[in-house]
Amino acid sequence: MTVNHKVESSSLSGDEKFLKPKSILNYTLTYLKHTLLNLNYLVNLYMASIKSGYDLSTATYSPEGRVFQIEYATKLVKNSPMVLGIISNDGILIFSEKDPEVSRLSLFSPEKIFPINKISAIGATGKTGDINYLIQRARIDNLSYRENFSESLNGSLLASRVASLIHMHTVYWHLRPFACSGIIGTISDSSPEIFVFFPSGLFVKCFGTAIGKQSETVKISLENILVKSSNCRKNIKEVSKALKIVKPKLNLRLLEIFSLSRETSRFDKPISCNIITENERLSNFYPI
Amino acid sequence: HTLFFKIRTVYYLMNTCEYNILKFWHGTTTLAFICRAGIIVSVDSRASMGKYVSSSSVKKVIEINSYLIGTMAGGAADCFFWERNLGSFCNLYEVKNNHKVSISGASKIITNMVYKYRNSGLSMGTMIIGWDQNGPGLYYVDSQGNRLRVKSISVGSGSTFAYGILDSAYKWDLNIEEACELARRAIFHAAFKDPFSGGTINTYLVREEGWIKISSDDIGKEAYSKYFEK
Repeated sequence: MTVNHKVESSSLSGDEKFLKPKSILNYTLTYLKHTLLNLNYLVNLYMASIKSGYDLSTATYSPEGRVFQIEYATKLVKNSPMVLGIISNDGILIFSEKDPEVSRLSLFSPEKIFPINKISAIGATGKTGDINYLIQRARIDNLSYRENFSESLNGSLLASRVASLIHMHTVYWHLRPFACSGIIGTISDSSPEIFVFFPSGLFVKCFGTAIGKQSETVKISLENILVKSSNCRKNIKEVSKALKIVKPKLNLRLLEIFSLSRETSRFDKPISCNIITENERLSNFYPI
Repeated sequence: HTLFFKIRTVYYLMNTCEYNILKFWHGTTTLAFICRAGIIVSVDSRASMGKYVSSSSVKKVIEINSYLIGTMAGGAADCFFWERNLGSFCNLYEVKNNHKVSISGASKIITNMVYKYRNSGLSMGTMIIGWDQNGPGLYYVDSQGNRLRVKSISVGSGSTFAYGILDSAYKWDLNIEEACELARRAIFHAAFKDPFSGGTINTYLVREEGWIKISSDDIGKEAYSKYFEK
């Protein structure tokens, strides 16, 4: 609850203006009285709807049919660093941007793209604590699936397991929703697939998306890249060009690129420095 | 009348000091091998209870699925039940995951199911055979929890006799007729020497499209004159 003292003085009623706070006790009493009377104004104004208690728990609906806790979680994700995923002819590409505030002057900063097994990886944004737990569970699920069926979890199976875990956290009152959203990239039956999952438990299969800050503008340029349908290597250049338009001050040190294609027999984290500097050179070369 | 022998295809066990001795499963000869023509499976059909031959027309190949086959050695009820159970599991898997289960997955499922009853007296020495998108799959699965991926194997009391014929004439480049003839010859000689094997020889072929039954030949005077001709 945030209280602005200037607002307080102007909204005091007629009687209370005469009760100038002379002592500390007097001050605290007026403070308490004011806050108790004006609870509604202290809550976050969201689309001018008076919530009055429908947003205190995940297990309550509002009369308009919304679950506010999940919407708050998605809002957190919208303000997090961007993650981008796209399908190419021979594989998948996931780009992610690390948080510049956290990575300033740090030797290593939290990763955003995690391998689950040799043929799939998840790139996630949001709260890092939630992301770590989610990835841990996905890896354990993969292990147990391997034990029972002698195959790696991939494709819609992996996506549905991750999404059902997230959904479970939106059903009970004693758990808060996962504040993380992510892109799952897998290769199943030698065809690349990309899934997106959200804090509400929804997962969608798509050709390419972006989540996080400034993702709407990037999605439009992704559509143009998808139409050309080229390799992973070519797509890296195209996507870095698109990113440069959206984020001109992008620091390459904070950019993580993950590619899984036929060139690399197993999943491999960021590519060699040459390609990154090459991208920088190319993106500087083509003026916007 | 239980015979103790090493399984030859497990070459790494032969080089260790304490080799794993596998019990032989009573009263049968089954074999399978992979060659260019596909996977050839051949079994006899005698069921014996001690000295008494209880049946000469047992179906020792269990058709689990249109793409999966299992053989029976040891306890008939155990093999039959667990392989049928595996069939229903594979059906469920296919419905849930939109693609057929791989043979390594199917053999893993049955191994895990049977391992829970490891010391309760199950007796099963079966082969899970099929063809999935990774190619031909031949797995030997045991009631003790063994699961081996092999290219050619023979299970049963007459397996040693069958190995002699099979290994000496095995080549990768066999066409269908030669391969089936080899399998039949191996089973015949095993049935001839081993008192607990006999009846008829059932031969199956497994290929990319599925399995098919090739022939069912009686072991009798005609077979004797054919195989001992030379």
